[in-house]
Order: sequence, then C-alpha cells, then structure tokens
Amino acid sequence: MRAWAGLEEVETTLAGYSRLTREAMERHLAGRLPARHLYDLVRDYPSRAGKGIRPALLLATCQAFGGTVDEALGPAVAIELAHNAFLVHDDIEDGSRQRRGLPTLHRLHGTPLAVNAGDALAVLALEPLRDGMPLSGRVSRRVSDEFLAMLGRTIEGQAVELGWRADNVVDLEPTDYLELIFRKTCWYTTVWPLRVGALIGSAGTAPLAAVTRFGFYLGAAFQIRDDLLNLVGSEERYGKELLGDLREGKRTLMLIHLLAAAAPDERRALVAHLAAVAEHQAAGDGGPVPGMDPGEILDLMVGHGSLEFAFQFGQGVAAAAYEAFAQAFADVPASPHRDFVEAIVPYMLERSA
Amino acid sequence: MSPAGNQVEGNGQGGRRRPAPFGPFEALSSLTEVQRRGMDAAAQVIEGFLSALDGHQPPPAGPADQPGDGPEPGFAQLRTSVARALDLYSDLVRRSFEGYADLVEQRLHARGVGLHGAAPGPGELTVQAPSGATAGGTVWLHNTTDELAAAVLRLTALTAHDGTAVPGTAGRFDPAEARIAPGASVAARLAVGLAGVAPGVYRGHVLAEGLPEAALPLRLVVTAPAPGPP
Repeated sequence: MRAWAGLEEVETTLAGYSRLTREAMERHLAGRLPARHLYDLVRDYPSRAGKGIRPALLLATCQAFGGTVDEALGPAVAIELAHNAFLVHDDIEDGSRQRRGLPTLHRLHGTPLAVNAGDALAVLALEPLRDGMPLSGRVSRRVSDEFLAMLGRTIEGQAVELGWRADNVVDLEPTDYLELIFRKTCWYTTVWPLRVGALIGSAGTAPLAAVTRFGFYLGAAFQIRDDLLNLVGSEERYGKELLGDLREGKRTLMLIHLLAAAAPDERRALVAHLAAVAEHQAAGDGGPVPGMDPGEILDLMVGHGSLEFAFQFGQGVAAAAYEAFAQAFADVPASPHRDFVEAIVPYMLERSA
Repeated sequence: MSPAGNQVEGNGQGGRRRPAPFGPFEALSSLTEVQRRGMDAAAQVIEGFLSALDGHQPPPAGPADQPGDGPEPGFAQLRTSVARALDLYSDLVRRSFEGYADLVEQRLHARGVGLHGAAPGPGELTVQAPSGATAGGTVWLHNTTDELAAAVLRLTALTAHDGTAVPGTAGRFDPAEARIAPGASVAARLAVGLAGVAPGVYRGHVLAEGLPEAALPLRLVVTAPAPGPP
C-alpha cells in the first residue's frame, strides 16, 4: 500500500472524480427546455463546483472492490443531483442566504421557482439509475432500492430536525444529535456512496455492515466538523454565511451542550431566542431574525466550552472512523483506489473549508 | 483544528492517523473523556441500527488487519467473479424473454382482428388425439379495432407430408359464427373428428370468413388408436 503524499494529492484525485461526475451531469442536463424558468435553475447549483466527495467515495470504493468507473458513474450522477435537490430545498427551509459563495437559488429566482427546480433535480436524479446502466439487472435493482431507502431516510431526518425547531425542543442529548445526522446527512453523504460502491464493485457479494459502520463514523465526524466550521471557519472558504446555524436555531452538538451547560438565566434567554426563531421561521416573512445576537450565543458557547466539547466529541467519532475503515476494507486488495478512500478520511476530517 | 487551541494527541494536522494496532478502540488509551464519549455514543447509534439488519455481524474484537481474519481476499474476488458471470447469463436469459414478450405485445397491439391459439402471440395451434377419436382445441378471435367485427370460422383441408388429407369439413367450431365487440375477444371450441384418419401429422389453417387477413396455422397430430379392452 502506498502512502499518499498529502492532502493536495487527495484534492487532485478528488477533482478528477468531481470533473468526471460534473461532465456526466452536464450531459444529463443539457438541452432541456424550458430553460428560463426551470432548467437554467436546475443547472445552477450543479455548476457551482462543490468538492464532489459523494461521487468520489462511490467511484473509488467501486473500483477498490473490483468494479469500474463506468459501472458507478450513473449512481454517482444520481447522488450528486439528489444532493443538489436537497440543498435547494434546505436553503429555503433554513432561509439560507449563500450557497457555495453565491446567493441561494430562492434569493435569485424566488421561492416558487426554486422549489420547482429542487423537485426537478430530485426527479432527474432517478434517471441515471434506470436499466440503461452497465450493471446486471440484479445489482441495478439493489442500487435503486438503496437509493430510494437513502432518499427516505434523508427526508425523515430533515423532518425530525425541522420538528425539533418548530416545537422548540431543547432537552436533547448528543445521542439524539447522532441519530439525527445519521439519517439526515450520513446516509447520503458517506453511507450510501460507500455501500453502493461496494455493492457494484463486488457484484453484490460484499457484506455491507462494515462499510455502513465506517460510513456513519466518517459522516458523523464530518458533520460535526462542518457545524464547527459554520461558527469558526472562514466564510470565503466555507461558502456559506458564518453563524447561519445559530440564526436558524439548528440543533448542533454545540447548541445541545450549551443548553445543558448554561446558567439558568442564560438558558432561559436561549430557549426564548429559539422559540422566537421558530415563530419567525413559521411566519416565513423573511425579515430580520429576532432574539439574541448570534455573536452573543457564540460567546456563550466559547465560555461554556461547547466548541471544545464538540471538537473533542468529533475527534472521538473520527478515531472510530479510522478503526472502522480498517475493518471495512480488510478484505479489499491493495490498490490506488483503496488508498484514496483511506486518504479521504483525514481529508474530510481535517478540512478547514 | 481545535477551537480552543488544543490538539488531540496523536492526530497531527494534515497527517494521517494510522489504524490502532489493537482491537476496536482498545488501543486508544490517549482518548480524552469527551472523545471516548463521542466514540461510545456513535457506536451505540450505529450498532443499534445494524443489529436490526439481517446478516449483521458485530465488529471483530481482534486486530483489524491481521492475516487470517475472515475469508482470503482471493476468495472474495472469486466470489465476485462468479456473481458477475451468473449475472451476465441471467441477464441474457431475461433479455431474450423480454424480446420475445415485446414481439408478442406488438402483435397483440397491432390494430385488427386476429386469430390465435390458446396462448396469444405468433405460432400455431396444435391439437392431438388417437385415430378414431376427436381432437379438440380452443381458437381465440381478438378484435383490437374500434369497430364491431363478425366472422364465420372455417377449417381448411389438413394435409400430411405424403399428401394424405383430412377434409376441412371434419372440423366443427362452437360457436361457428362470432360477433366480436371492439376491444373484445371471443373463444371458439374446435373439434376435429378423426374417424378413419391414419396416424400422422397434418397441417392446415383456421380461417375466418369476413376477415381475409386472419389465419391461424393448425397442426393436427393423430396417434395410433387407443387399444380396446382385452
């Protein structure tokens, strides 16, 4: 097994997979009409270059387990389109203002057109999974089943989180947060790409429990880091507005810790703030977010050690991810693709953007 | 990144953390209490999920990448190759059947009135009986037009390879005349009397008077007479 030179080499390989997927995605979306009120919007987020971690994980895992890029490219396009569909709708639900360094789609075109474009992206994501794929019918059906299950879990997770906000749920444990992100984020970010990569590459013969475990640890550690970056990262590199999670009342690990660690008067103020945010979101008037200043909440988090808690907690999950990789890929022969999957773990968990 | 400037022991910036040399989590003695809490909470979530799945196996307690654990990598590759070969053959069979089904469907969806045997689609109707008995089969008339169709069924002479013929009048249809509503089908029972007919294979057609394009090839197999009681 060769050692990767460093994160730059991972980024180069990642960029290669990302380009491959983006080109396939562009072919998939090209020439569709009507352009002005639908497909121009549909093509917007996919054209804002993301890192392409999901398709890269899928393509590399498939090859590591013995498959080819050609076999996994359709599902790679599918997951990237579904990801963009989720982003469009999430941005509306969260009232987000920026996505990948540019204004969100609903700010550019209005909510009705953005919702419709998100619907279109979700439907278009199913097309690359049809029988035209260079996969056997048996594997193709399993990939489709996995895709539908993943969509269901992601939507359910989103509903749970929105419900927490709407009902102003404040008595949460870190385990509740992990359960949430398992469904809402991990499935489609890491678990599904790893499972489907192994499924295709091994022609359905590889046991999937170990890659599921690895995917969860990796996705959870990644999400905790992403939540931290929203508070202390660089807006230019992060691509979204900083402190957006605090404005939206998102139940992050840091907020859950703060709610438990805050003094009674601080907690009362915080709970009242979250209730005001929930009312504001339910009204959907788009005006300024009421309640506490996000900077004030951040100060409380720093003062009570919530950021440090989340960081350390995430490091524990990350350590589990490294362990789980070794278990999941124990039977996989050495190859550059296996090495890439191994190298992407520190890349995802030590990124600053 | 550490928000408070702390570094996790053994996790340098930009480097890779090697898998622990012992079993799951056991060698991570340098973990802080919060780190271990994160690890345990995550394990609780994922193991709870996996335990609900069929075929779940808990993570092995021993070293992750020790030789001798689990099946040989070569075995996994062999298993994959066999699965791919089986998939290839099963897909070939499936596609062949799908191609046949498409042909049948096209024929059924062709607009017109058609004659078919018991099974829809191209082919012929075979009826069989011993010499002296009566051979029977079912003929279907499918009307896929938008108009009422009427037909009188008739049997052509059936001819063997040596020129021996069974006259068409040996055949009877019940009903002999049919009126078929648009989009409907009608079945008619065919009976061919084989008195004095020598054993052999005879071929002819079922025709429908009033429907000049409709014809169903018929194969009549006459076997030796059944032995009488001793």
